[in-house]
Amino acid sequence: MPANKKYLTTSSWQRFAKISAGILGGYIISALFHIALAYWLPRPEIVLITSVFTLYIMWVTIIILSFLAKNGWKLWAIYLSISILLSIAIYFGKMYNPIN
Amino acid sequence: MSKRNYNIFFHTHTVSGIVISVALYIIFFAGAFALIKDEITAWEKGDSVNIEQAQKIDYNRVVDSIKAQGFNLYGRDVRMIAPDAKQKLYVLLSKSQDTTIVNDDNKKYYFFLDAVDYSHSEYYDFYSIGELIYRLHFFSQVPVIGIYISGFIALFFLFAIVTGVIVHWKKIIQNFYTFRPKKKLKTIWTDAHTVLGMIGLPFQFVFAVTSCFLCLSALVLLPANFIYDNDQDKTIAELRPMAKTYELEKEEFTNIPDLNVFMDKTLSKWENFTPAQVYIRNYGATNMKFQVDGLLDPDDKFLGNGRTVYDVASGELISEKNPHDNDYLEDVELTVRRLHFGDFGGLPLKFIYFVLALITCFVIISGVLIWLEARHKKNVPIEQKLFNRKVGHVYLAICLTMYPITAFSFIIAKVLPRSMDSSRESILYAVYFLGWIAVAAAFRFMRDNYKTNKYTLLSGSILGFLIPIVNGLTSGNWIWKTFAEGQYEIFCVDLFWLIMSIVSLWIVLKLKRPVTNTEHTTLLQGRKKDFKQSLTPSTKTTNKLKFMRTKTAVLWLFLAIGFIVHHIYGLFGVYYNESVMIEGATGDVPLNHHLWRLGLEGLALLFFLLTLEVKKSWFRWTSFCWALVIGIFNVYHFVGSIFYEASNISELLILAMVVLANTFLAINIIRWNKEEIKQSLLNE
Repeated sequence: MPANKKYLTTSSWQRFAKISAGILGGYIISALFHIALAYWLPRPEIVLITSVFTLYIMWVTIIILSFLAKNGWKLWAIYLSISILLSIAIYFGKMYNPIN
Repeated sequence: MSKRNYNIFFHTHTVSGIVISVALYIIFFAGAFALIKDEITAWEKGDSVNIEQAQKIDYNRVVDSIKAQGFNLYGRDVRMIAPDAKQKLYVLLSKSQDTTIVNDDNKKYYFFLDAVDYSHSEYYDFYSIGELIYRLHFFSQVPVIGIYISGFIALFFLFAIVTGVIVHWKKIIQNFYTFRPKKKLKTIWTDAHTVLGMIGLPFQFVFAVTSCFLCLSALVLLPANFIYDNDQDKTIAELRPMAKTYELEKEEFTNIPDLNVFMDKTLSKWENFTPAQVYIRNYGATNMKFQVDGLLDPDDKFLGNGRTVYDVASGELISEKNPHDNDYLEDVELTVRRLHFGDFGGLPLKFIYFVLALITCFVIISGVLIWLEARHKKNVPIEQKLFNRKVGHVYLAICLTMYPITAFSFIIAKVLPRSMDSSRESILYAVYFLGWIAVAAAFRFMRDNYKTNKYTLLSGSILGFLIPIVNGLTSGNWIWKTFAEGQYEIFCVDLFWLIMSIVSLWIVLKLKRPVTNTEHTTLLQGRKKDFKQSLTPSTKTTNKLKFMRTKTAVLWLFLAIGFIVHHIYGLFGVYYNESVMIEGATGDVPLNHHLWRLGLEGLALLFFLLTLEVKKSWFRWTSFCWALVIGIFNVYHFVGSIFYEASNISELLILAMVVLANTFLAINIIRWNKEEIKQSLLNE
């Protein structure tokens, strides 16, 4: 009953790209997402304390989704652009809604 | 769900599950016992437990007792954790905030104070088997990185849970009611894995998420710190009100009033409120604070944490959190902890947690067995079969022997007399870990999973039955006596073991060998035949062999040089910025330093030399094992250096190179070994 090999990634570089994108990129995106939310929602401390569980759930979700990608390098590109978008949101968040 | 996605999820579930399985099993098995770690300590000591009395602490006496130990309290924060079944008040002293004071012992301290006579004892004075298992639960025996390893195991456990649910989603309801014990082995494991996995699902999900936070909290603090501009004190004050610190006012405050008054004031505020932690902040300064953190009885309110903070000088209440009012910010962390430690429903709830933890252990084992059975088919190449078998034997041997070795260590812990308290920790470590390695190795080489299962359960059960008896014989705490006297903390440990033993004995009696075990030698012979068929004699192989040996030897040499260079770089500090390296250096090199250098440099050079001359099978395996051991050590050392001496770039570089060389070395030895086997088969 092992999974049908036909559907699995064979290239080890592709596998590396997907796994690294999932683990590293997943953490970066979830961290940036929570920072951005903290700037744009009224009470940052509530967002941050909620992140003690949502951060990990989001992280794992991103790891799982990464394995569905067809191309690991494109996946990295997508994750990088999401990170950049979130960083922009943080940059403006910091400008318009500074926390103390 | 498309076929592609299903197969991907299925594969990631299998791989992540197999990779973390052994570590996860250890975490859950140890975690089951960690739930009752304080009860275990009480059981081990055998003194009667009286929590009611232990709760009545005289804080003036506490302070006097700390001072009598010679601690200068000025400017320190004193944190006290209320006594539990251990009957000890746990005290933590922070560093003094006053940096101007000449105070050569300005360090953090932690120790115990007896809840009745306030006598001082060091944290490690009585090292309980409960403590050992509790620490094993998050791999704290592995220095520095142990807790992060367990954190990442938790993260991938969460991954395995979610992918498991996705894979089973479509048939989750039918499968829940499916159990076919009469069918072939794989269906039994699959059914049990699915059904028990479903039953334990909420529990496992909660555990995975909460342990991610408990072990990897640094990763949550990173974004939080960013928001508060890397001001850690501010981050903590905003997110964890209980840990708020106050800047020291540099004026001494000498006539400190009765501290118990503040406790009495707090206790009179709310009914059923039990203090859990007490802080005296900025001791001896004009802005000294007395803070009480406590909880309502969990039967009254699940999330009932309250707090009072009094200013000692003015006697005024400066901050209060009513335990009857909920506050999201404070409740999140309490929820996480409550759910993880199961400390809200007394011993009955802990018993349920215990059972669920053991069910999870079964789910992990059955997962490994499915993996094994699914790959035990005719069309699988023999080489692959042999590898899978090995993995199965090693995994099951490590996991299943944990039960008898835990039971055995309990007996040893109970038999050890109190006069040996000073060496208790090392004895328990030796018994537990060396014993575990020995037993696991014995079962691994028996190469029969059925026997491993049967004999670990049987021996665990016999040892388990002995535990209450040994307890009765050594301390007179017979199980009926502790029950009659209401010593439930001590009673429950015996009861747990009795139940464990009865259940495992019952399983042993029900066990039947479902399929015949394939003999190891048949597989080996099969492999030989395969080899011979695929090989044609050629001179090329001999050349290849010589090349591989040279390569291995060169890698050993590289390692040896790496170690030597590392030692030289380690001395850089002496040349450039430090006058004396180690406190108490006499000019003589201590013996253990010689041993370290012999063990690392000497052995690497020895293996280099021998690789050129010896090619026997035992030598190849010894070299491989040693390469693995120093490999683990090197990786650990490299990671540790990143934390501790990130500025010493040349040393970091050489350490990284050594790790790389070590990896190549291990791979190379394995290849060389294979090549030698092939060659010897050809020559037969």
